[in-house]
This record gives sequence, C-alpha cells and structure tokens, in this order.
Amino acid sequence: MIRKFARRVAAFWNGWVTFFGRREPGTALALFRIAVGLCVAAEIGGTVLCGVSDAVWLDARFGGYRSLEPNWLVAWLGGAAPGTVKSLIGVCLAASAALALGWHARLAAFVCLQAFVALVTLNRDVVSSYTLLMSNALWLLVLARSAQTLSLDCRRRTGAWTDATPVPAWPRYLAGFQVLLMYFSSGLHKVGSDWPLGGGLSAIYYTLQQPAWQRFGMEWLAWIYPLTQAATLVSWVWELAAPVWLVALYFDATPERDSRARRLFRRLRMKFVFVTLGIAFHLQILIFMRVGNFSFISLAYYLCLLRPKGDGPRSSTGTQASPTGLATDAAKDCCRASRSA
Amino acid sequence: MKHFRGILILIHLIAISIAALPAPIRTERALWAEPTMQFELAQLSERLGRWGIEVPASELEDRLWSVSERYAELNERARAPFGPYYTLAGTGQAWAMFAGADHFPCTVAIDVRVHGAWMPVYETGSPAHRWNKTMFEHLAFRYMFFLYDLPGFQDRNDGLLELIARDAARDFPSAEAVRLRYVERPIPSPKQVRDGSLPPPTERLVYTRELTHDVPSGP
Repeated sequence: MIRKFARRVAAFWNGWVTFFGRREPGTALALFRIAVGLCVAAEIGGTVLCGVSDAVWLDARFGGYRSLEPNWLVAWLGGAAPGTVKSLIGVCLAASAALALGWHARLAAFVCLQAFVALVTLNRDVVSSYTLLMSNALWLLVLARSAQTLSLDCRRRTGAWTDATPVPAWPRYLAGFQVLLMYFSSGLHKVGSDWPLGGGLSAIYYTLQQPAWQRFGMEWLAWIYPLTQAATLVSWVWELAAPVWLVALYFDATPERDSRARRLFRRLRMKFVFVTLGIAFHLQILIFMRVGNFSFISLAYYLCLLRPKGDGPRSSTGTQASPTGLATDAAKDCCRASRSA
Repeated sequence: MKHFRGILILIHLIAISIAALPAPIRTERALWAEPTMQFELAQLSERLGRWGIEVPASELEDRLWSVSERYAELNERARAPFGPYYTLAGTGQAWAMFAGADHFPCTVAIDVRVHGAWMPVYETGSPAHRWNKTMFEHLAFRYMFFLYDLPGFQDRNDGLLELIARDAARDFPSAEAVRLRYVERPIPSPKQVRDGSLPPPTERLVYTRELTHDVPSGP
C-alpha cells in the first residue's frame, strides 16, 4: 500500500519535473516581455503626465497630503522625498523601456520590479489590484529567458531580430497559472448580494453604474437589464471555472498525449472558449469602464497562452521551430517547399 | 538541477495560491456601519429568513464579525512564511475586484468661494465643471474619492483638501476658500430608471478650508 502510494508520488513528481523542464521557442515570452514593459511604462508615465505623482507619492513631510509607509527600498533611500520619488520614476521608466526593447532583459526586469513596487506601494490607499499583475509579470520576466528573440540582446548576439533557439517554457506556464489564479480568486470573492452566490444577478448592472469607474452614463442598461443579468452569470461562472481552464491549458501544452478527456476538451475547443470569453470580458471593461491599465496588463498575460509551434519534447533541439516560433502551417509548408527545392 | 527547479516552482505556486485566498481586510468594526455593508447584511438576513433561518441583521453582523476575525487570523498565519517572498519579488495577490457593488456611491464636488458666493469648479462626471480634471480623474484620485467618504478613511480629507487648496489658490487668485463635498447618489434600480423615479442625492460630507494667497515678496 505504502509502496504503491510512493510509486504514485514518484510518478507524479517525474511528470511534474518533465513538464516544467520543457523547452520551446521564446516568441510568446518575448511578446509578453514587450507588452509588460509597455504597460509598466504607461502606468508610471501616465501618473507623471497627469501631475499625480507628487500628490500621491510624496510623504506629508515633503508636501504630500498624508504620511506614507514606504517599503524597504524607499525607507533605505531616506523616505518618500521628491528626489527619491523622481529617481525611482526615472529608473522605473528607463528599466521598462530596456525591458520592452530586450536590452539586458532580466536585469532590466529586476530593476524595474523593485522601482515599480517601491512606487506603487508608497500610498496604499490608491494602489490598484492590477499593479500586482504587473509586479508578478516582472518577477516572471526576471526568471524567464524572454530576450532570446525579438530583442536588442538577440540582435547583438545573433545579428538577427529573431532566434528560434528553445528556452524554458515554465515561466510561460506560470504566467498562464497567474492569470487563472486571478480570475478564480476574483470569483471566490464575489459573494455580495448582487452576485449569484449572494442570490442576485445584478452585479454588472450596478458595477457599471459606479460614478468612480464608469466611462460614461450607463442608465440605458436599465432597458436591457436581462442582458446584464446574463452577463453577470456568465462572467461569474467563467471566473470560477478557472480550474477547468487550467486543465484546458495543460492539455493544450501537452498535445503529444491522448486520452478521452483530452479529445473531449479538443472537440469543445475549451481553450478557445476561455480565451474568447476572456478577451470579450476585458474589451467590455475597456469600453465601459475607466480602471487604468487593468485590461491591457491582463491581455498581456494572454500572450503567454499562445503555444509556440514546435514546442514540447520535439523542440528541444529547435529543429521544429520556425524563426518566429509562431509560424502558421502555411509558413511551415513554405519552409518545407523551399528546403525540398 | 531539474528537481531543484521543480521544488522552487511548487513553492512559488503554493505561495501565490495561499496569497490569493479571499481574506477579509482586518479593519475597524466602525467600517461595517457603512451603508453598503449594512445593505449587504440586511439582504443576507432577509435571504436566510426566506430559507427558514431567522437571524436579525444585527446578530448576523456580530456572528460574521467573529468568523471574519478568526478567518483573517488563520489566513495571516498561512501567509506569514511567504511574507518576504511577496514583498521582495512582488508576488502578492489581492483580487477582490468588483466583489460587491456600492449601492450608495458618492460623487465629489469642489467649490471655491469668491466674494462670499460659492462657485462650483469640479464635479464628478460634469461636463461643465472640469477644473483640474486631468488630476482628479486619474485613477489614483478616483480611488481617494471612492475611499475617503468611508468612516475609517475620513480623516485623510484634511490633507487632501490642503493639497486641493494649494492648486485652488494658484488657479483662482480671487478665491477666499475652497470646499470639498461628498454627495451620496444611490444607484437607482432598473425599475426606478425606467419609471423615472430616481432617488435624490444627499450631501454626506463637507470639508472647507480658507485659502491663503502667498504674495511674492519684492526685491
């Protein structure tokens, strides 16, 4: 009995290690890096351009409106003084640009992460949840080899902008897990009376009426209220179904295996359903609500759901990978044709 | 090496999953007196009543407070070992997004007093009163305005008004005072919108500050 259990644990662990040891072309991670760099730059740059940075990030001792509790870095630098805040902004913007360009990407991601976290956690009253998506993304980019392709580093190293050399795929898997964790956790939090668990279906109607977040007047929703009820139900189920989407992503990442469940997921196009609903959800937020860069950074994670062609065990030599790693079948056919010619 | 990587990935996944568990914000009991919270409790009490469980809203509040405190303590203990990882690697998780809609949100109005008469200069969503709108409509300020009408945060308004007063003194040289008003605008139900019977707004909080205009000193 114990031996059987031990064998099962060993098999699970071997599967775990093998799965997270997979390699693939680095295109999806490179696109993720570029998008995250741009999102961080937009977040910090937007705060500066709107004249808000001094108001929210300076301590009361230096002209801010309240006493702040700086993180270890700001405390070490002497507190939220104008010079410190401006330096952090400069460093964060420069590092996010370096990250997007793929210039010493891992170092840039680390520097950007520390400066970004130091800034956005200065005033906890105004910190948005989605800045956590940004900091988590930056941490994954510290760990990932995201500058293998589509980067200045790639250009310097190979003389070309693209490089199909496989990179570890696990940072991409972790990014996929992160975005699903956000949805699942968000779904678990929705217990208010306007959500199905609380007995209502009015959450989307009432959320879109919030003067703080709505982009324009939404009273017209009262005339299509049943549609908002349906949207409430769909978005709630979609969030809580995150474990199912996780299985769909796992099946998609391991296409070389086969089982009845995999065939069912493939037939129902589960990954496609998840991605389509997710994109629709974020576009809806982008159109109707003003909640900063939430949709942009969330959609940046969707780039990590792209499965580069030629990934998995066969790609460990890079022979199956196209120059971009996201080649279409047509492009592959062209390559084959030119090779045979 | 591959086993070491597997272990680190497992620890990362456990750490972020624990952090993502719903956690009630440990706060003052006074915050539960806020209208939306009371509305939620009344709704829950009513629903339980429909299921044959009679619990008055006040008793339900006491019970939920006690459960919430215990759970928050447990949650904090589970997170504690990963604290440095969340702080240094920015891997914290807090996803209580749109968890419950505010049925009694406030809009903000800012007025300046000129020759004894109050003049509106900014109002949430108003196309006419748009002073400093780039700043006031930035997400950070909208968060402040959203939060600072709540009981536990109202003391922040003095500092906020001082900040607003600095800009007002610069932009309205003849203004004598500035005031910040939080106006509660209950969200009408779909039926109320269709019937045209919108609930009236009420002024919830008003903060006033006299302006001091610094006269540039001569040579």
